[in-house]
Amino acid sequence: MDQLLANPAVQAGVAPFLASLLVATPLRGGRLLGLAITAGFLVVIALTMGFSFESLTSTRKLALVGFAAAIGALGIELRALAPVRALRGGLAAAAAGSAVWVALRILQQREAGTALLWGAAAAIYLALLTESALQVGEDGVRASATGLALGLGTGGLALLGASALMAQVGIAIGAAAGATLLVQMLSGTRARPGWTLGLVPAIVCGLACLIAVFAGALPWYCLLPTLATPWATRLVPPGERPAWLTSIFSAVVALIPMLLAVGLAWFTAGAST
Amino acid sequence: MSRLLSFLLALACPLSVLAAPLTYTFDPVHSFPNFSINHLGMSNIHGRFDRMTGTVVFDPVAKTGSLEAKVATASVTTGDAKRSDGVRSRDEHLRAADFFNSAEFPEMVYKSTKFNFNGENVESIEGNLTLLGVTKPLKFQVVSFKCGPNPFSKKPMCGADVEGSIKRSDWGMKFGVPGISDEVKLAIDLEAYPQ
Repeated sequence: MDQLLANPAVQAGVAPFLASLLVATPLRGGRLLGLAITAGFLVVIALTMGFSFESLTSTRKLALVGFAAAIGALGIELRALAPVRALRGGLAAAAAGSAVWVALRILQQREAGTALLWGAAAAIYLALLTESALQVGEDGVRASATGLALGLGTGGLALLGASALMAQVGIAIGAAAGATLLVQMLSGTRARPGWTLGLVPAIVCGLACLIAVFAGALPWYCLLPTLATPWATRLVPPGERPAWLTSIFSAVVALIPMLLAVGLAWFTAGAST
Repeated sequence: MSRLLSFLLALACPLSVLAAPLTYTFDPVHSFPNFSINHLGMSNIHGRFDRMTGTVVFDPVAKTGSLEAKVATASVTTGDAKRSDGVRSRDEHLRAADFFNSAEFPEMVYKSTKFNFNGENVESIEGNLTLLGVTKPLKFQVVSFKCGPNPFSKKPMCGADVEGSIKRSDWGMKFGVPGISDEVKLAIDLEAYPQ
C-alpha cells in the first residue's frame, strides 16, 4: 500500500480524483460541490509534502492559502452570500495579498526594484485569475471545466518549469475538478453549485504557476495565456444540448489557452538550450 | 635596549600564547562539498556544489577549533546541467522548490560547535546544518585533517576531508522519498590559508 501511495501518478491523479468523486457524488447540484475539489487538494498535500509547516517555505504557504481559500469558500456558501462585485473584488484582493506573502522570501533575495516589480506582477496575475474564475462560478459546468483545464495546464507548466511538486499539485486540482465535471455529466443536469466552485482551483493553480516561475525555470510570459482559461468557457453557450455534451465542449475550449501556455513553455525551454 | 626587552618578553611568554589559534579561509578552487544519493534503490548519483566559502579556526596546542561553511545552493551540479529536448535538467530540478529551493534559500550553512580530538588528531566535528530554513545537528567524521606548509609556496595551510550523512526529510526536503533515498551521504574536501 505504501508503495502504491508513493507512486507520483497515484498521489497526483488517482487518489485526488477518487477522493473528489466520493465527495462530489452526494453533493452534486448543491452549493457545497466545491468541497470535492478541496478533498482532492487535501489528499495531494497529505501524500506529497504532508502537514508539517516547519519552516514556512513558499510551497507550504501555498498549502495554507489553499486551505484558507477552501474555508473561506465554505463560509460564503453556508451563509449563501451573493456574488456581488464587492465580495468578488475582496476575494481577488485577498488572493493578490496571498501571492505576495507566498513569494515574500523569494522577493527578499532580490534587489528592491526587481522585488517590487515581481511582487506587483504576481499580485495582479492572481487577482485577475481569481476574479475571472469567480465570474464563471455560477455555472457549475464552466467552473469545473475551468478547474480541470487550469489544473492540468498547471501540471504541464510546472513540469516544464522544473517543479515536479507543483506539477503534482496542479494535476491533483485538475483531477479533482474533473471528478466534479464528471458527476455533472453523468447526472445529466446542469448543477447549480455555489459560485465559489472556482475559487480553490484558481488560487492554488495560480500560486503553483507563480512558484514555478519564481523558484523554478518557467518564463513569466508563459502564464499570460492561462488568464484566458475561465473566459474561454464562455464561448460555449448554455443552449439546449445535453449536459454531458456541454461539459465536453467546455473542457475542450478551456484547455486551449492552457495548451497554448504549455506549448510556449515547451518551445522556450527547447530554444534556450 | 628595545631588542633586549623584546627578547626577554618572548622568553617569558608561555608556548600556548605563541601558538594562538589561527583563522584560515577556504581556498575556493580546492574546497567543495560533495554528496551522493541512492536512486530507485539501484545506483548512486553523485553531485557537488561549485561554490563554498568559509573559515576554519584551529589551535592544535589548545586542541580547539571551529568551522563555518556557506554553500551556494544554486551551484549544485550533477552532470546534467542542460538538455536539448525542452525537458528540464536534473540540476535545474535540484535548484527548484522540490529540493534546494535556491531562489528562496540561496545558502546552506554549517557551523561547528565542537572539534573532538583523539590524541593529536581531530576525530570528528559536531555542529549544526541550516538548510531550507531548518537548523539541525550534524556530526562529521574526520578522514584527515592536516596543517603545515604548502609544499611549493611554503605558506602555512590546512586541509581536511570530512564525511557525514543526513536524512534530508529532517530538513523538510521530502520530494521523491523513497525512490530518491532519504539518506544523503556528504563529503567535504577543503583547503584553507591563513587570513
